[in-house]
Amino acid sequence: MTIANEALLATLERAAVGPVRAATADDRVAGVQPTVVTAPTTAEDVAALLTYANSEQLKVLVRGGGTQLHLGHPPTGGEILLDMRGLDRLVEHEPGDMTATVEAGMRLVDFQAALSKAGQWLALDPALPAEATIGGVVATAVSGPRRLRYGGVRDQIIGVHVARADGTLAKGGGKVVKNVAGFDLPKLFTGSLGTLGVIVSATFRLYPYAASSATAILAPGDEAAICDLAVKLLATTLVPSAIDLVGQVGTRAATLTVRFEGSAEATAEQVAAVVREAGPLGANATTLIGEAEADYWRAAAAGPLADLAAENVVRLKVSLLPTTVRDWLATAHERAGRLNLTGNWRVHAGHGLLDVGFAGTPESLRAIVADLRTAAVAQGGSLVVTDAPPALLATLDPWGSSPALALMQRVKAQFDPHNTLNPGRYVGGI
Amino acid sequence: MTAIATEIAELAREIEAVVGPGGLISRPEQLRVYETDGLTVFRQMPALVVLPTTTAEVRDVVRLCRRYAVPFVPRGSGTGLSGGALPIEGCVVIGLSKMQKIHEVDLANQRIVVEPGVLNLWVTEKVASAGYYYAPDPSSQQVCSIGGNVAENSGGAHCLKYGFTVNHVLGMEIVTPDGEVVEIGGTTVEQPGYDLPGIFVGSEGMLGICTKITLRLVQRAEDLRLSLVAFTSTDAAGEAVSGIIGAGIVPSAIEMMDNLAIQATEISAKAGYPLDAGAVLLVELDGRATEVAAQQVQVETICREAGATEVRIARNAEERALFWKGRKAAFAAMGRLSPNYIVQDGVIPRTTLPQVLREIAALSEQYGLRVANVFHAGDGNLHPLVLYPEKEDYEHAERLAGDILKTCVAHGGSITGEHGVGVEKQPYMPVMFTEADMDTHQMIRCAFNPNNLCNPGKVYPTPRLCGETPGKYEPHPLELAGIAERF
Repeated sequence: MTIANEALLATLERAAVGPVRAATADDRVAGVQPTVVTAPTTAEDVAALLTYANSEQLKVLVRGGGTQLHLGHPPTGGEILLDMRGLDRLVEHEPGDMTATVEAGMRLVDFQAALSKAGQWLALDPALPAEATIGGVVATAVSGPRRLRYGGVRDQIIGVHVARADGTLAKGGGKVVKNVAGFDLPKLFTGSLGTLGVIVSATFRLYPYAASSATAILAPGDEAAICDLAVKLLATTLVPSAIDLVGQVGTRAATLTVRFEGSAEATAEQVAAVVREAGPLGANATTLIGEAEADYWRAAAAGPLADLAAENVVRLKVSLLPTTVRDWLATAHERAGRLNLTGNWRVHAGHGLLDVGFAGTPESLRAIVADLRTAAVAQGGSLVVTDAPPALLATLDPWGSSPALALMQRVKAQFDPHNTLNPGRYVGGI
Repeated sequence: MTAIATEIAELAREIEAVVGPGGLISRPEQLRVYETDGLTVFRQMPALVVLPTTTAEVRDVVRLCRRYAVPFVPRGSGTGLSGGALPIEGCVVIGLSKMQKIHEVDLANQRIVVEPGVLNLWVTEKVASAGYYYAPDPSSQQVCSIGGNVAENSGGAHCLKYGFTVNHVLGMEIVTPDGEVVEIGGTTVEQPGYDLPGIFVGSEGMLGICTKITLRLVQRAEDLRLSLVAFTSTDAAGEAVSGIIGAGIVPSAIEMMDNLAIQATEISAKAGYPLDAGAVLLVELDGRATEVAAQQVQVETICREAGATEVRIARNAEERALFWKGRKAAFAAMGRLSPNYIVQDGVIPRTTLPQVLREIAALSEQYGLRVANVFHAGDGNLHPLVLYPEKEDYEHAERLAGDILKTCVAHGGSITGEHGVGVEKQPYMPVMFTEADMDTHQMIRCAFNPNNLCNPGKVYPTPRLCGETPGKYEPHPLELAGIAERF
């Protein structure tokens, strides 16, 4: 069964905005049912669609691989679903300059595969399924374990082409690593969740593959002591790519995983140094290299929710100062225990981002989101719900408040005055 | 007294009530200090200069300026090279040089919270004994301020590996052009919502005034090696740079100087650079000792294969400082070769370096002016120094400098890598960006600074009107015909 608005479909078919079809139930975004799906293949198609939608006061929802459609509030409307996967070309890759420009709809895995031919990569390793696209990665600013060494999306994006809500095509930044000409549009669009314009393509700085890599995995140990060890490692001259703590509700035993990249000698020497620094916690540590290491990190990227039941699960991204992780986790154990929740987490302890999952009743999940957000904010941090069932999502604030909300609303009003794009999904209902 | 003078006098009285008599400068001979910044060819006297000491004073002064509809220009140490802090006629300069407190040092989390008037080098000095430093290091780091660095998104020799100011700012307290005090970003790596610190950094003073900045600190590496490598030509040095990067090495710095730059810097810095070299490279490696030692061998091999005539490794901290002195003194040393010179700041994709250098040499010949070249070679950031003996030749030299920037853009680069657009490179923004691009960028300015009182007339050649009816940008027929500009 389709839910097409026949007149809209017919109009869009005439309007040269690329392929158009009637929407189905599979096209819902956080429970909101669009009527029409467009799948443009060029920036001009995207622009034409937005010009039309904006002038007709139609709302447009934007999707890439569809891996993060439950991020943010459910949209407040959306007649048109803009599916960006048709813009999937690698525009330019100059290995000598270590930069590449790619269209928004290309999958991250395909982009990485193309870059790998020159021994390079976009240094982002988010825990997302293979469907995730470049546009989605930029719009949600997701990162992974190795953000510790390489930084996040904002540190790697150097240029962006966007279609504004009114259909104007514009660019910011460029294709050189160092560039301060004009306001930093690439950073503004990073993490903006499609609320300011539609990302058409992006340019990134790249990194060479390291000559070798090694990962030390300590035997399970006391979580609080592991947190202290992670902070201690930060104060050494070791150069880890990732410091991850994996733990779960109910057990105070966690494992610490530390990854190094560089020459074979340097990685081996640093793994040994971690074991030394760990003292008793370093007993029975294992070191992974080669395929075994790659397998470990692939499994890690599947995220902490892998073994939780699919129903009534929330996934959280928590941002903390590294030294406050220990106390926050203690609060998480205590509250989750009292609310009878199961849960687990992967804590990027070096840079203070936590990927956390809880399962339980809707009421208890609402309660823990509120409690743990308070605990995070009290330490200068934040807590964002990155995934939740639509019914639950509709009853909580996925973002939390921001002292700069008024400024953000003014930015939105400039870029999208008719509230055409992804209405209502963002912080403060932007 | 004219009406304007009366109004300024009233404003001055109200400002003085906020900052006290010591915080206000209104006598012409004292105002003159503020008529220019590091780009001294442009000069304009401000109406008043205010030196607030607290966030509340900044806020109140901004509110007064707004009430009187008098434009205001934020200023740090005044070392900017693009005229970003150049006053405009009848404006109030808000100087942040008295806000020099370091509020908090949090070594365990590698954070420091400072006021905008804190000098770049002070941050490192504050934490050096504990083994930390602040990574962005513009050549002016002994005198430039963090607030100025934020406005310009300053770089330096080490940003190839460690990034620019924007990569090291986590959050800020700002006073908006409306006079509101707002926290943007935070102390942790992410906060919900738009990346406002990401757009505030590098906004060249047009989005407001930062009054408190949370910076990341970096752990000093276990080992560090600096080599001075001589080549017979810039082509050979460029080949070595490509070889090093291509081998997967990310040095903490790779700097290049051509023969003319070497000649100049040796007169003043006496760093021992080989005077007969066609080019020298400074290659700095840092990291774990085992890694650095292995990379040093690789770098030497690559340089020799590219035709290096000499590889000199600094044996100790004094020698390292001496090698760096030669590089960091390069701009100032140009004065020994020519009384007047223009520093440019173009960026090119690294692979186009040999071609662009040939084009710069051809332009130099065509204009009959000497051009010395100093680059951050690792990231393709060129600093061509256009020498002109007579002051009257400025416009001629400026045209040459402009042609160099156009060459950079034609090769896929940028008109500025770290100095900013300011007033100096404003005419070249349309070489890089379309009208629609610039219109879009300025939506950001309209969100923060709709009345355009905060540092007006910078960066963008034509200010966008913020109250315009939203609609797709369509050039007016007169614009297309080149008859009218858009206002």
